[in-house]
Amino acid sequence: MIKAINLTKKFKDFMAVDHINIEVPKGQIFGFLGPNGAGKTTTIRMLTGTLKPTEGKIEILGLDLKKHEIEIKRRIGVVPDEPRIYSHLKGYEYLEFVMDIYKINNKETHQRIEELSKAFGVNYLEKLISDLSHGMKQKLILISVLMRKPEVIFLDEPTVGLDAKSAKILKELLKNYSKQSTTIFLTTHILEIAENMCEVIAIINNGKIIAQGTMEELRKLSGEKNKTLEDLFLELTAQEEDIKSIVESLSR
Amino acid sequence: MREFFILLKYGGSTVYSQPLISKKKKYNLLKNQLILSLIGSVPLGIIIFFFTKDLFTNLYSVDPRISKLMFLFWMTILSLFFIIGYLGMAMYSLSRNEEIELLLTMPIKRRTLTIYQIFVSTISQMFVLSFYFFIYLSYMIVTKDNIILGITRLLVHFMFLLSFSSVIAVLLGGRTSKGFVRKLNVFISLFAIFFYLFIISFQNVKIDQFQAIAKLFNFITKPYNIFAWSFISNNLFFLASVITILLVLIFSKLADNLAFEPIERKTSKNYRIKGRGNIIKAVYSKDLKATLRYEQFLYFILYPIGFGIFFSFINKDYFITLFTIIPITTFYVAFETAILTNSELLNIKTILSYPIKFSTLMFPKVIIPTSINFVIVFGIFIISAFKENLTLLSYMIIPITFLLFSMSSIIGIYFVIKNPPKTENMNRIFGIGQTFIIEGITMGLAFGSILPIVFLNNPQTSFKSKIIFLLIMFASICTSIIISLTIFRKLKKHLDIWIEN
Repeated sequence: MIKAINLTKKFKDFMAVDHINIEVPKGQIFGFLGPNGAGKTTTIRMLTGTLKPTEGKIEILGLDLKKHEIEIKRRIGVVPDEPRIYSHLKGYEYLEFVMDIYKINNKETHQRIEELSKAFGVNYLEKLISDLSHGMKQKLILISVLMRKPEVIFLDEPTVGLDAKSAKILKELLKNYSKQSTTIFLTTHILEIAENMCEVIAIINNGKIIAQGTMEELRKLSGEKNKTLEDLFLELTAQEEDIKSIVESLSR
Repeated sequence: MREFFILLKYGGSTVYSQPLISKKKKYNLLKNQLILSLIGSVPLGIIIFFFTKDLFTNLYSVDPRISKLMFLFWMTILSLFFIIGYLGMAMYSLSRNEEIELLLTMPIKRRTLTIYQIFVSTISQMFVLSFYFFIYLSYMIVTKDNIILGITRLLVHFMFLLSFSSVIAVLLGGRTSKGFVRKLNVFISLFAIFFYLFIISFQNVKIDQFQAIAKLFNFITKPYNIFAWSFISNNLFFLASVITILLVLIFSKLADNLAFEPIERKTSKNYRIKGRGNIIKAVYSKDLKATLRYEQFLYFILYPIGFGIFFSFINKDYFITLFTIIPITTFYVAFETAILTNSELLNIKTILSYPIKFSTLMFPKVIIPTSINFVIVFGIFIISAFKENLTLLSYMIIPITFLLFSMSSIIGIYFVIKNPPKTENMNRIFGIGQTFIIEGITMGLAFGSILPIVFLNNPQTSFKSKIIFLLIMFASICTSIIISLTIFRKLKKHLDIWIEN
C-alpha cells in the first residue's frame, strides 16, 4: 500500500531524510516516531506528494507517485500537522470545497458528515474558519478526510488540540478503519497512542530510520522484554541520559 | 499610568491582527501605527488648512454667516465620520477579543484597559481628527477668535464626541466583529479621502453659489445638531460642556466595571451542504468568496471608482474619468491578486495534498481581479460611449485595459511567490520597496498606454507630437506584453522553488 525506497530529501546542505525505506501493507496502522526535527513531517509530505524527494521512489496503492500523483491524491487522505485551511471560508463551505475537489456528491458522504460532526462535537460549521480555535479546525480537517473514506490515511500529529473525547473517538475510528482494510500512517509524540494503536513502529532520528518493527521486535532489539515504548524511544534516540542530567540541573 | 504605557508599547494585536516586529526586534505596533497615521493625515490636514483658510477668508469678507455655516457643515460631517468610525472600532475593542482575553489575566486595572482601548480606537480615526483640527484652526484664525476659548471649544467638542461614542460603544459593546470594524474603517477612510477632494474642489466655486447653497444647509445651525454644539452658540457650548462632564463621569463608572462582553455573532444555522463535484466551480467560488470577505477588496475596488466619479463630477466628462480610474485600478489589481495568492500560500501544506494541479488553483487569481475590474471599466466606457462621440482610437482603451490588468495580476502573483509575506494581515502584503516598484511599473505603463489617446484625439495636437505620443503608446503596450510574458515564465520557476521548500 505504502512503499518508499531510498527516500531522500536534502534542503541545500541539510539532509532532512536520508535514504529511508518504508513498507506498509494494506490495513496496517504504521506509527512513525521521532524527536522534533527528525524528518517525520518531511517524510509524510513526500509520501503524500506535497514535497518532491531529492532521491528515491514512492509507491502508494501500487502506483508510482511520480506518474500518478493526482490519481493517488484522490484516493488518499492527509491530516497535516497544522490545521491550515482557508480562513475566509465557513466550515460547511470548506467541506463543500473538498467535496468538489474530490468530485464527490453522494448521500453517503452527506450522511458521514452528519455522523462525524456529531461524533466530534462539530456544531460550528456555519462559522468562519478564521474564528475557530486550533482544535476546532483540526476536527474540521478530520471530517473533510474521514467523510471520503480514503484507502490510505496519513495523519501528522492528529490528536494535537483535540479534547479527550474526540481524541478517543479518533483512535477507535482509526482502529476500525484499519480492520476494514484502510491503511493508516501516523506520526505522534504521544508514545502511548503509538504503543496502543500501531502494529508496526518506525523510529526516525536525524533523517535516518534507526529502528523499525512491532513492539515485540523493538523490545528484542533493546534486549529488555518489559520496556515501554517511551523507554525504548528515549534509549534509541539517545535522549535518556540528557533527560537525567537536565532534570538534575533544573531541580537544584 | 505605567501599565498604560507598557500596554502601548507591547499591545495592539486587537484589530491590526499581527504584532509588527521591526528588524531590530522591538515591539512597536501602536507607535508605528500612530506615526504612520500622523505621516498620512497631518500633511493632508495642512493642505486642507490652507484651502479652507482662503475659502473662509473670502466668505467671511462677503458674509460671516455663510463662512460659519460652511464651517459648521464641515464640523458636522467630520463629527459624524468620527462617531461612526470610532464607534465601530470601540465596540470591538471594548468587547471580549483575543487581546482582552489575555490582558484580563494580568494584574491590570479595568480602567487602564478601557483607556488603552479608547486610545487604540482614537488612533484609528486620525485622518478625521487631523481634518477636524486643521479646519477648526483655519476658521479660528480667520474669525480671530479668542485662542483660549477656541482651544477650549475644540477640546470640549472632541471630549464630547469621544465620551458620547464611548458610552454608546460600551452599551452596545460586543455587537460587532473584527471584519465589520475593518470594513467600516475602509468606508470611513474612503469618505475621508473624498471629503478631502471635495473641500479642495471648493476653490473653484464662486461666492454667490455659496449663498445659494447656504439656504439649503441652514438646518445645521439648529440646536438639535449635536455634532456641532460647541460651535453653534455659547449657550450650546455650555450645554455641551456640562453634558461632556456627565458623560465622562458615566463612562468612568462604566470603565471600572466593564465586563468586556463576548462578541455576539449572528450566524445562521440554516445551511445545506451542497457538493457540486465540479473542481473549476469550487476554486472560482472559493476565490470569489475571498474577494467578498477581505475588506481590502472593498477599498481597492471602490477607491478608483469613487476617484473617477469625483473627477467626472468636476470635469463633466465621463471618458476622462477612465484616465484616472485605469492607472489606479491597474496598480490595485496587483494587490487584489496578491491577496488571493497569499491566502493560497498560507495553506499550501494542506492544499498540495488535494488532487488538483497548482495551476488550476492559481488561474482564478489572475482571472477574478482582472475580470471584476475590467467589467467596471467596460461599464464606464459604455456609458461614456453613449454620452459622447468617441473616436475609433478611443475604443483601443478596452483591449489595452485588459492587457494592463492581466499584466498587473501576473506581477502581483510574482511578487508574492518571490517573497511570501507569511502573514494573514493582507494590509502588509507588500513592503514599501515592493509597493513602489509595482506602482512604478503598473501606473507608469498604464499612463504610457492610455494617456496618448487623449492627445491623439485632440485635433490641436501637431503631427510631430502625434507621432511621439503614438510611439510612447506603442512602446508602453509592447513593454506590458514583454513584462507579462517574462514574469509568467519566471513564475513557474519560483513556484517550483516554493513548493520544493
